[in-house]
Amino acid sequence: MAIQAFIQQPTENSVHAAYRPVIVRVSATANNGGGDTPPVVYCDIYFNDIFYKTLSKTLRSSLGSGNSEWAFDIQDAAQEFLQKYIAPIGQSTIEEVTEIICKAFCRMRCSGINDDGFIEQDGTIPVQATSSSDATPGTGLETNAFYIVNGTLQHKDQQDLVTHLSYYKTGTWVPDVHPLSHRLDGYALAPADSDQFPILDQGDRSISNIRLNYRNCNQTEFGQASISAGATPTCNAIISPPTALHNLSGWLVSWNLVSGSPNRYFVSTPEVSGGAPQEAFISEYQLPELSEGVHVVTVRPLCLIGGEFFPGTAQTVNITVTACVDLTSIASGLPDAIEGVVYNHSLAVVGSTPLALSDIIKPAWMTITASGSNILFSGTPVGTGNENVIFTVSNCGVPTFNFAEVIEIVAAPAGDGTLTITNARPGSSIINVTPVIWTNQVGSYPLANGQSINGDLVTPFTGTVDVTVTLVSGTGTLRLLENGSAIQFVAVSGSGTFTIPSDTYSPGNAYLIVLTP
Amino acid sequence: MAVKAYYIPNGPANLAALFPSIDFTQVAEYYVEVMEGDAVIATTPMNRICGCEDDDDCFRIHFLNALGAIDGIDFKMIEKLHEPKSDTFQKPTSYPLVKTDHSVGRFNVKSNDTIRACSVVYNEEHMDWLDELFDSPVAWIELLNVQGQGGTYNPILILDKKNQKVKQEDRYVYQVEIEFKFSHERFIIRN
Repeated sequence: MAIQAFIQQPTENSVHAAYRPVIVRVSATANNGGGDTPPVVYCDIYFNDIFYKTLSKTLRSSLGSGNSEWAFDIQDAAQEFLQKYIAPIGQSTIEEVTEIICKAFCRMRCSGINDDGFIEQDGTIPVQATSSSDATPGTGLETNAFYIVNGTLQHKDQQDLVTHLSYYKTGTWVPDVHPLSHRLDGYALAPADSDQFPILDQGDRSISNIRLNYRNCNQTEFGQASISAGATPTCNAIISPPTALHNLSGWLVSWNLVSGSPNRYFVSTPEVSGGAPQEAFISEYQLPELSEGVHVVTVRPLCLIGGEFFPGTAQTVNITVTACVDLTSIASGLPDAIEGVVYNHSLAVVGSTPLALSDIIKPAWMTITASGSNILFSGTPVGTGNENVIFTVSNCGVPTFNFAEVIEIVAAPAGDGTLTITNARPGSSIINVTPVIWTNQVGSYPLANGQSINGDLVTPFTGTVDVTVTLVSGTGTLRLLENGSAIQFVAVSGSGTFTIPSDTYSPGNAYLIVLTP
Repeated sequence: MAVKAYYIPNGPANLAALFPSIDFTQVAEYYVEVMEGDAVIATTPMNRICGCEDDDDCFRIHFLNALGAIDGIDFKMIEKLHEPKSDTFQKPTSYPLVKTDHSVGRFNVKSNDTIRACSVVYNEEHMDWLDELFDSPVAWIELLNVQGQGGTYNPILILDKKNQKVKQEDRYVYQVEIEFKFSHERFIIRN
């Protein structure tokens, strides 16, 4: 990613007013070595750990040294997101108010111009929630997590919200609790009035007790009374709808934690232990084989609050179990393999899944796995000659199938693969490329603009390739092309050795390592 | 770590349920402390009980303050105006004549009450806080036991109005006036 660093961001766990600037500034360069200024920089805003919206900018705030600076103000998004909340009249419990404050962070993403001239965003693009689907998170360079309150500060006010609020404390307060009101001593009420006093707690406390200090008419002393006024805690952990996957042990039920911090999960279905909840401490649970029919599996997060467990909102998944179908056939005809060329083949099996493999005899380089209704064969052949592929496949049914075939590994045709190293960047030279994975080299270093080295690729190679480059000024891009298609990009800036990420160079293909502007 | 906002019970109606032995009609002033174990972590300002409960013209307005939470102020109504607006239509007199039929009729009737109220319990130091009431985009009037509904809120629309925040004469008595309409106009039948 070409987002380089944060120049300015809110500090961790700081609290901000939604109607004052909340600024994130980053330095960035274009992707794919496209220069100091990306075409677009994106600021993905997350509220309460859920993607809310993206701010995008095409105009940098300034040009830095070898990069550009970009500034985003997320106050408008916070103003949209935050809401008012008025408690019911006469409510006598301490109530956590989630509408007027939110946790926030941003993920920054960059972009570049691809070979076709289109703007290409980097990372995973997040998706907004709709009325029928949840938001999908994306990737990017993440800011600190901070908090935004649905409030404002006047021009004359201290612009740090927490410091401002501390000037409105009357009586005893701890430093990390603040009033969310500017009311002063002498706040007037009638004997039947309803009222709440709003506070902001930075200490993650579980507040439940209050003490009333009161003075009756015609008295000078204050009386005192205490009581617990805590509301029943609620578990705000949210999980995604679970999914169920059949495997050799039964059914694997898995889910994702969307938000919150549950201590554990309860998983239950009527056929397992009479519907008693089974505990899971990670986001999956292995159920045994279930009988034929439809089974409703319920997953419920549990939060541990003040030493007690409180259930969150449950999600369910239906598992439909059909009768076991015996194995009836397995396809045949494994193709021969070429030495050094990746081998990938699958054969279909007819019968219930999951499939089990046993008594396997195979070449050392080959991996055989069962995936759904297919047997997968993969690997990169080593050596030549005939090899046996033998195994037994079984499922929930009685009959098993024995598979036995012979495949031939033929030698890769020598000289079929080529590797060319070309310099197409004015004002530069290629000093060296290591390791030497080719033979029959034609041409020599250093390669000035327009010069090349050619070689034959006889044996396969998998790994990184280091290219030593001298640039007079500016930047460039190292590209690796396979049969004319670009498969790797490396930005080059200044002189030095740059690494092309690990890739497989197979005989039979034409590779080009080229340095471009 | 999470930063959280809480609403602490602070009104007599809220506290009466927690402290049934305390008669708030006899209380002159009080404050509430929020506790963590035996330690005080927050304290409300000193609340004053100002007797207005027996007067039908007294009511409480709750408003969105500048920090996103809700504050409230008691007022005494000093004027209530009912203001209907309508258009008229005219149709021919029917033949044969129906004595009860209208010719010129009224339609598109809209009406609302405009209420003017005042408070005299706050002084000059509270004026900046009172600005938040006059500037608030959202406010409600507290209604108690209207036709057996229990306690409820009725949304109101605060009308723009100038208020004197500092004065030289009678500077220790500040009469704050507010004008508002109900957010929902009266529903008028048509036929």
